[in-house]
Order: sequence, then C-alpha cells, then structure tokens
Amino acid sequence: MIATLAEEMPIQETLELIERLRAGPGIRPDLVVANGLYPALGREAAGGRRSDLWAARRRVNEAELSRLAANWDGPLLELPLLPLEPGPELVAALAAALAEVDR
Amino acid sequence: VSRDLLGRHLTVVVGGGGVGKTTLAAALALGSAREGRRTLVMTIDPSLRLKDALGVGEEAKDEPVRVFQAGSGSLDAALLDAKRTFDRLIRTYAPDGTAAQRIFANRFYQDLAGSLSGILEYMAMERLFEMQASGLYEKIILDTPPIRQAMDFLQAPERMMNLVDSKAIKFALDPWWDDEGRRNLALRIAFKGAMELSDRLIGRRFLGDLVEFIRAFAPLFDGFRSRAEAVRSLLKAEGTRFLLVAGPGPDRVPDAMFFLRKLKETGHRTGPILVNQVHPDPGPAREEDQGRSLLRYLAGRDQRGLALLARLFPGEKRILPVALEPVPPTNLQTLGQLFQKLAAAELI
Repeated sequence: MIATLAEEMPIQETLELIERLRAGPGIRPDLVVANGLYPALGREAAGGRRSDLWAARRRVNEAELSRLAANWDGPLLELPLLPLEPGPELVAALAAALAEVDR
Repeated sequence: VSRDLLGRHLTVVVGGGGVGKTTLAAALALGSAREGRRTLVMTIDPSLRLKDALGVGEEAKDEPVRVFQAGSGSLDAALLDAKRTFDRLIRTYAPDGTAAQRIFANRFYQDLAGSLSGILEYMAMERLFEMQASGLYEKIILDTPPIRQAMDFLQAPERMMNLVDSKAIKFALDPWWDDEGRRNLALRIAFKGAMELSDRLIGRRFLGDLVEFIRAFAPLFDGFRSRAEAVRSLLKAEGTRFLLVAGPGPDRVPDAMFFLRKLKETGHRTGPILVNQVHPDPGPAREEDQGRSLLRYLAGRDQRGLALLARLFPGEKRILPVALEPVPPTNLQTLGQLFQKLAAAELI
C-alpha cells in the first residue's frame, strides 16, 4: 500500500515508486491511499478570501488525483483531511474509511 | 527579515520531506538576485513544477543555468545529481583516464554511486564546495535532500573520511586477495566455509567486483579525504547559516527541536526557523460550512504549534511563520511574490 498526499511532489514520487516497484522486484501495490484531502467544494464556496484557500487547495488535490489516475489504474482510496488531533479518534475515523475498501 | 535570511554568503536550507524546502529555497534565491547579488540556487532534482518555474531542465545537472538577470543581480540554478558529481570527482582525482574508466566500468560503482546511504548527501556537499570555490557567486543557497536522519546529512563529510580510512577498505587492499577476490583469502584463513557462505550470501562475482572497485579507488583516497575536510570546514564557517524549514502544527515541533539541537551540538550555525504552510485563520463567517470549519481547526492547530515553538526560544524572535500558499508557485513571478511575503513577514 502506498500512502501519499494529493500534491505535486508526493504524487510524482508515488508514480516513480510504482514504476520502480514494477521494473525492479515486479511488485504491484494493492492500494494507493491519497490522504489529507481538502473536502470537496460545496456551492457556497465561492465567496470570501479565506475560502479561496480551501477552493485552491482542493483544486490542487483534484488536479493531482487526475494525474495519478492517468498513470495508475489500480485501487485508489481517498481519505479526507479531518479536523481531529492525532490519536485514537483520528485512527478510528481512518480505520473506518479503510474498512470500506476491504468490502 | 530579508537580511536575516540572505545576509550570509552561504545558506543551507534543511528540513524534512514535504515541508516546501525547495520552493522556499528558490524564492529566497530569486529575492537575493533581485536585491542585486550574483546568486546560485542548488537543488536536488526538484519537483516538475519547480523545474518549470525556474525554467531549467536536465542541462542544469551539468552546469548552472541562468534563469534571471536584472542589473548586477543574477540567478543561476543547478540541479544536484549524485552520480554525475561522483563521476566528476573521480575524473578529478583519478591518476589517469584509464584508472577513471576502470572505476566507471565497475558494476559495483554503477550501483554504489546512486544508492549508498550518505552518498547523495555527500555529493550535495561536494558540488556545493566546487561552486563555492569557483568564486562566481556572492550568494549560494543549497536546498538539501530530505533527511530522515539529520545526522546522515551533517556527518556526510565525516562518513566519507571514515569510509576511506576504514578497516574494511584496508583489508580489501591487502595483497592476499587475488583478482577474483577469493582463492588467496580461502588459503590464508584456511576456512573454506567462509567463502561458501559469502558465495551464497552475496555471490562471488559481487565480491570480486567489490575488491576490484576498492583497488581502483585506492589512488583517489587522499584527494577524497582532504576534500571532505574542506567541505566540513565550509559548513561550519562564519559565513554559513543553516535555515531550518519546518511544517506547521504541534506534531512537527519535536522534529524541529531535534534537528536544531544536532546542528548546535555539531558546531553549525543556524539562522531563523521557517515554519511553512501555516493555515491562516478563516475569520468570522455568516454561515459555517465544512471547508471553513476545517480551515478554522487547522489555523488553530498551526497557531498552537507556533506558540509551542516560540516558548522554546524565549526572547529570541527567530521563528518566521510562512502562510500556506493557495497555489504553489509555478513561475518566476509567483516565486517573486512568495519572496515579497517572506521579506515582509515578522519574526516571532
């Protein structure tokens, strides 16, 4: 399983890692996880300077996810950036999302 | 702040992966050039987008490429490539072309040059030294490889010196190896099993290549040792500052502190600490939506991280918060805008 952020450099490194695993030991990852995604934009996201930050970061995420999808046809899991401190609560929330994939 | 960030001859930008080191190094370098200095930024194979932003390609792996010029100021960019630097080093120190070719052709060298732990770090230092010695630049900014183990990087010159002096190498240079690296050893230590074991573990050809490599390398060791010493002094010189770039949030503070302590213990000089990707507070809103409440949470988290770090340096004002950019810089214009923000930011 490869874990990455949907930003330019992590996605680039992910694509290079997939290629090196294929060309070297001949391993294909079972899953790529894009972690820490800014939430999808609602209709109300248009106004205000600060929500521009959210919109812009989400667009970066989406552009990088498309670049990943263009080069990786295997399973991909998208995990949201959650307003939770590192700890049991965050782990439980991420575990629930991962359990979805197993089904 | 601009003086704190750029006032020295050499700036080494350090920090973990994904904290925006390369982008900040490029922005500082552009700012330095705009302020009128002949500036060089050296970076390890940066992101595609940054390559585009600086407008450089593969050719910058061989020689610095001019990316900006205005008045007396200029900006050159060089991409660090461990293998090419190592090759160049061997051409410099090999007694003749044949000796150099012997090393280049060795299978062990071909693997080693790109992969041995610490080699990339050392080669970054080595290339830095070459550029500094060229005297072409008033200001050099080095973007370092992402480091997991801070000491790998700081100790790279020492490790190269230790490698050269190591028992393993002296052992391999001993005449009781034959050209295939096996028979005489087996006779000498009269322990057949040892070679059978090493055959199984690493393969006889590999061992032969290794011995051949070390022998071919031997004439270069003196040059390497003195060079590694010079690199070490340069890193600790009065005109050198290490700029630590850290991620935001309280979880990143221990990493930052660990690295700062190591820098101090090893006699290196640190400048301001750049805490990058700090989420700004989204401010009051008529309706709270999912995005805004997330940003509010992240802004609070990042402020806690800054406060924690600031408390560890009472009265020093050496922490520079840098706001998360909505869109990462993609060209010289947006890199320039990032520098404007850096220069206007307040140390806390």
